[in-house]
Amino acid sequence: MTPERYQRVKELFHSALERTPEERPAFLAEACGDDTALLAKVEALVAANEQPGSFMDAPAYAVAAEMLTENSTGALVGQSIGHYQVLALLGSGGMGDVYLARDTRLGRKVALKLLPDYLTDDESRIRRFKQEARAASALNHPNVLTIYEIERAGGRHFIATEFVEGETLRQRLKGGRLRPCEALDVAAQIASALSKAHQAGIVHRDIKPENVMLDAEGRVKVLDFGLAKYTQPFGGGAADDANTESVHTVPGMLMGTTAYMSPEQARGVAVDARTDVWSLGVVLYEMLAGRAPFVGQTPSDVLAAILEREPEPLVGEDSGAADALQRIVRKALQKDREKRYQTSRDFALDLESLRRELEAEAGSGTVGSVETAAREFPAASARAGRNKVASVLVLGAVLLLAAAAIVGTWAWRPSKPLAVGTTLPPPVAAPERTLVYSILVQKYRDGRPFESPFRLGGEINFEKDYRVRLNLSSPQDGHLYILNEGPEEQGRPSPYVILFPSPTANEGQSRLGAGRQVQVPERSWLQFDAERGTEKVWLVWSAESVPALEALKAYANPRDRGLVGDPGLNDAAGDFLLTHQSPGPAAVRDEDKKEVVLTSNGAILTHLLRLEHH
Amino acid sequence: MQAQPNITEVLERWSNGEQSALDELVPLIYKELRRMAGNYIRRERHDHTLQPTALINEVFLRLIDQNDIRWQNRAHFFGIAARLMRRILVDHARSQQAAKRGGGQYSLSLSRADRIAGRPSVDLLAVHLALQELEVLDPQQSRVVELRFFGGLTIEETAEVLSISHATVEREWKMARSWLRHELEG
Repeated sequence: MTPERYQRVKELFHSALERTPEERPAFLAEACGDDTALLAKVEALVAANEQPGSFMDAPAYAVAAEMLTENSTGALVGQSIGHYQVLALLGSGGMGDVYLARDTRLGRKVALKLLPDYLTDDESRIRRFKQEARAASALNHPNVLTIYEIERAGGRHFIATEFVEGETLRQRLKGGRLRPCEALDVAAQIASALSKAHQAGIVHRDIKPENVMLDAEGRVKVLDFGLAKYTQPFGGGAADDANTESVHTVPGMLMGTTAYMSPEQARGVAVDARTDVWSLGVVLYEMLAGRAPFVGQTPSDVLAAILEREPEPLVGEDSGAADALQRIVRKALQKDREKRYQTSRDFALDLESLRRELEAEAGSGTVGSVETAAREFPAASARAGRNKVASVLVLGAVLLLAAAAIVGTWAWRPSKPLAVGTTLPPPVAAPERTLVYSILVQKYRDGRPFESPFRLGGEINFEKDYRVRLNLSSPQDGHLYILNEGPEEQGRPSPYVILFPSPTANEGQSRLGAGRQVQVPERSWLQFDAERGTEKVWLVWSAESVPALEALKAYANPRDRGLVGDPGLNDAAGDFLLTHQSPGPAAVRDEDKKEVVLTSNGAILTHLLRLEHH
Repeated sequence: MQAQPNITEVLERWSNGEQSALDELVPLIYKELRRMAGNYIRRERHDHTLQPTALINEVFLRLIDQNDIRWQNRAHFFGIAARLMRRILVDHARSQQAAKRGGGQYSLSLSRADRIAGRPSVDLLAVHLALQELEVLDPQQSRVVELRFFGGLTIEETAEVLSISHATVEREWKMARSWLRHELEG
C-alpha cells in the first residue's frame, strides 16, 4: 500500500458511502475495473464503517484511565522497599495502597501503607504526620493498631503497622447488620481505645467502619488515629490547626467520611474528644440498623441531615433491649455536645454494661429445638469465636466447609433483628423457599483449561486461576435473580452486575419452572479478576417477580455486560438485598450429590455466596 | 498544584523542537496524569457526568503557566498535548503488557475494568502501531486520530487545531477509523 493508492482507496470509500447500499456494488465494480485488490479493500473498509459495536468511540484515556490507576496498585508486589519485602496487595483505600510485607530485619509480617504521591514532597506535613503517628503509637492499647515506623524509601513515604488478619468493619457490615451483643462489643472496644487516646490528648477525628478492623477472634483494632487530615490532598498544612476541620466539596472524595462527621466538624469549628463520641455513635447505629443514620444524595445533603435531622429510631422485637440501645445511641448522637457522653469512658461503661446484661439474658434462654437450630442462632457472645458457633449448627447432613468467611456469614446473622422505623412483621410461617445450587470448577493453567471440570457442593478457597459456573434448580416454581456485587468505593454503594437472567440464560426470563436447571453463565465461565479477595454473588429466589431486580435486566446485554449503569436502579437493588437478608437461609450440603440446598422461610430467599480466592 | 519551573522549561524545549526533552517530560506529567485518571474514574463511575474535554488538557492547565510558554498558537499546544498523551499511554500499555500474564480481552469475567468501563478494552498498543503505519499513508488522517483518540478532542476542536473544516475532519476520522478497525479487528 502506497500513499497514492491509499488516496485512491479514500476517494472510493467516500464515494461508495455517498451511495445507497444497493447502488454500491455496481459503482465499485465499475470504478475498480480489474483491480480486484482495490475493490476488496474498499469493500472491507465500508464494511468496517458499518460494523456495529463500539470501536474507539471513547478517547484513549477513558479506556486507559482504569489501566493507569490499576498499574499503580499492586505494582510493588515482589519488590523490596527499605528493609521490607512486599508479599501481596491487601487492598486499596482512599488513602493509598496497603500491602502485606515482611520485615526482613525482624522477620515479622507487617502492613505497609503507601502514602499518596503528593505527600512525599511536603516536608512540614510529613513531620507533623510522623509526630502524631508516634503519639498514637505510644498509646500501646490492644485496640489501637500499632505503628512500627514511618519511613521513606523508593521515593515514597510509607507507614509500617502491625498486620491484622481479618476484615474491616465496613467489609463486615456488607454481610448485614450485627446482633446487638456483637455491636455493643465492637463499640465498647472502640470506645476503650478512644478513651486511652483522649487521655493522652489525641482525638481520632475520623472514626468510621473503614478505620476499624476485626480480627479472627473478634478483637477490634482502630486505625489511623489523627492521621486523616494529613492525607487529604488539601489538608494538614500549617493553616490547618490541630483543631479545625475544613469541609471539602470535592465530589466523591469526602462522601465516605461525611456520614460520620459530628455537627461541629460539619460546621468547621474546633473539635474535641466528644467528636469521636459522636462518630462512634454513628458507627453503633449503623451496626445495629444496617444503615447509616444520616443519609443524602450529596455530601451537602448528608451534612444537612447531620445538623438538622434526628435519625430514625431503632426498634426491635425485644423492646427492652431496643429501648436501652436507643438511649445509648441517642445520647451519643446529641447535636449539642454538652449533652453527649462527655468522655469515651462513660460511653464505654454504658456499652459494656448493656452488653453484659443482654448476654446474660440470652444465655438463660433456650438454644432452641434441633429443627430450628440451623435457622436461628444461639446468641453466643461475640468473642466466643466463629468456630464454636459453627459446631452448634451441625445438623445431620454436614453444613458448609470451615472456610472462615462462609461460617462468618452464618454466625453473625441477627437472631433478633432490629428494624429501623417499624417493627418487622413476624416471618410468614407457611411459605418456604428452596434453592439448590452446585459449583462447577474448571482449572486453568497458562490461559488454557487444565484437567476436566469438577463439581463442588459448597464453596472452597479458590485459586485465582479457577473459573466457576453455578448450577441452580428448585423443586418449586419461582423467579431467580443472580447479582454480582462489586467492591464499594469511598462510601458509595456497590455497583451490581446482573448475571441472571441474561439473554443467553433462560432467554432473559427470571421465571424458572420447578425442576428446571440453569447454568450461569451459560456459555462461558466466571473468572476472578483480582489476586485475592472475595467475590460476592447474590442469589435471590422469589415466589413472585421482584420489580427492583426485573428492572436490571435491561443491562444484561453485550454492551453493558450486566453492569447496572443507572445509580437509582443500582441503589434500589442494593436496598432490596439489604432489607431481604433474613435470618438464614439454612444451607445443607449434600456430599453425594455435590450440591447445597438452601431453604428459607418467607416468600423470598436471599443468599450471599462468597467466593474466596487467592 | 503549583507550576513547577522545571516542567515549563522542559516543555518549552520540547516545543522548540528538542525531541529528547520529551523523555524528561513524560515522568513529570505521568504522576499528575495518574492522579487525574483516578479522579476521572471516580467521576465517571459515580456521577456519570463524563466530561468530554481532554484529560490531558486538564493536566497541562494544572501544571503549566500558559503565559510562560510561547506557544505558537493553540493548535501547537493541543498538538503537543495529544502527542504527549499518546506517548504516555503507550509506554504504560507496554509496561502493563509485560507485567500481565495475558488472558482474553473478550472473555466474560468479573473484571472491574471490563465492567466499569462497560466496553471491550481497545488495544492501545495495536492502535499506536497501526497509527504509525497510517502516518506514512496519510499524515493528516493520522493526526486526526491522534488528536481525537489520544487527545480526546472533539471534531470541532480538531478542525481548529489542524485548520481544516469540520466536514473534512469528519471524513478523515470516518475513513481512518474504518481503516484502523479493519487492521485491528480484521
